[in-house]
Amino acid sequence: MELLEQIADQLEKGQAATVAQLTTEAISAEIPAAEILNGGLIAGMDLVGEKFRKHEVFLPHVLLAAKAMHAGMELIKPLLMRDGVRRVGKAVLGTVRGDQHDIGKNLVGIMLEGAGFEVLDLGTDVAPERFVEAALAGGATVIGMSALLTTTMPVMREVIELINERELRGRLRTVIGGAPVTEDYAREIGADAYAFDGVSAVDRIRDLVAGGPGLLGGP
Amino acid sequence: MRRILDIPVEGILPSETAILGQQGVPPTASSLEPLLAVSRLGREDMAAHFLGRGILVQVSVTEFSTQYKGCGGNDSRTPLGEIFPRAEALFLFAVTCGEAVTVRIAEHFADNDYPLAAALDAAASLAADQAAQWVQDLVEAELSMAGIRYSPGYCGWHISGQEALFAKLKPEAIGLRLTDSFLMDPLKSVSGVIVFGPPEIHRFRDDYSFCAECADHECRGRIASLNSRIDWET
Repeated sequence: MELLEQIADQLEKGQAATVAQLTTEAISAEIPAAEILNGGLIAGMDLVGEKFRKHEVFLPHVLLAAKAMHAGMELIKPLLMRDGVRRVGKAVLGTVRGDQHDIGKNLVGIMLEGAGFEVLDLGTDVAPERFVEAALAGGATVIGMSALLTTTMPVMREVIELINERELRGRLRTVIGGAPVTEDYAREIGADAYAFDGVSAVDRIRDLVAGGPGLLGGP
Repeated sequence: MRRILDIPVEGILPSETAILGQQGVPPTASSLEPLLAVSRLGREDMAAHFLGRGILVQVSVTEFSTQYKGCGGNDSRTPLGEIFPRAEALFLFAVTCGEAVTVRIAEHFADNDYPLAAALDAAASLAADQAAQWVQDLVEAELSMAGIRYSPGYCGWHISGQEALFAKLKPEAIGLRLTDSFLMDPLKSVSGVIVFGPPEIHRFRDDYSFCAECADHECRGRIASLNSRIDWET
């Protein structure tokens, strides 16, 4: 098995120490960092993501793989920066104002990084203005919002209204999720996408970054 | 009378399988060993950082009527709204796993140990609920009666009901406060009312307007559990 395939295989199995060791070997063998990232680390996350979609593995398996991904990423990150390798895309994430729940949002961030995205995590209790300002300042094209309460869900609408008011629709696309959130609600408030878990969030954000239509039929 | 309770960690700690179940892993899943190992660590971390405390106050039906009304956001028809006027005893309660657990979960995320962070988060959610059950068991033993508990934010009882609940309980004494959006801080906490009364008052069909949006219909299990603990009149 080729070195990159071994990295992907061990990552999918959640073997962080082995992934770190194989990544070091790949660096020593002068395999470009971008190839290690795409052919080893992201490929491994894609494998586990696919199994998750098929219900062959579950969230803790994906998190073990993500931990292994991080072990490899730490080693190649300086090389990616040196080589000027661009990430797949950039997304701002946060739990909306008034809400302190963060595990779902954290998991989406981990999955997105595993898929090669750069993530600006704003934390919890994030005001609408801060979502928009952070996305603009950081060059992000997607805003991901999480809410775990029916009382805080309306803040998602405020963010989308702010994007519309500032004529940023199309430039900033939105994906929403959280226990009480539904696809119908996403349509109702004009969000570009709805995600029900971390893996589906990656799928939706990939689509949006690629210019996909989303729920609204276009950017 | 307001009672402050120290909740022992024994009997509160969830099993490793339950921690996996809380994360959506069915017991029949394959390759469970590495996951059970992480759950074991999460359980140990929980045992080391759990500082369970509870607060309990008995209120009259009249008093609870005002508290239940809260900010007026409840659904017009709710099971609790129909049950509590017929109750024989009502106890407001709040329990918390303590601040240290929440801090520990954040630390694991910051250390990029996502599996352990998620395992501890799941363990803490289960432990908070189990702590509420511990308080309920305590009152049930004292009253020799079985009850069912309800919490603001569920089954049509608007989450703003927390305000009236907290005004009466004053759970700051156990390190628990309410945020402006009625969330409890620390997050791994449970509050509500335990309703005691004749068995027939607890029977209801889950066909209220909000039941259609409910994913788990946990009420069915609670009523069934009550069923097994008391002699129903037929």
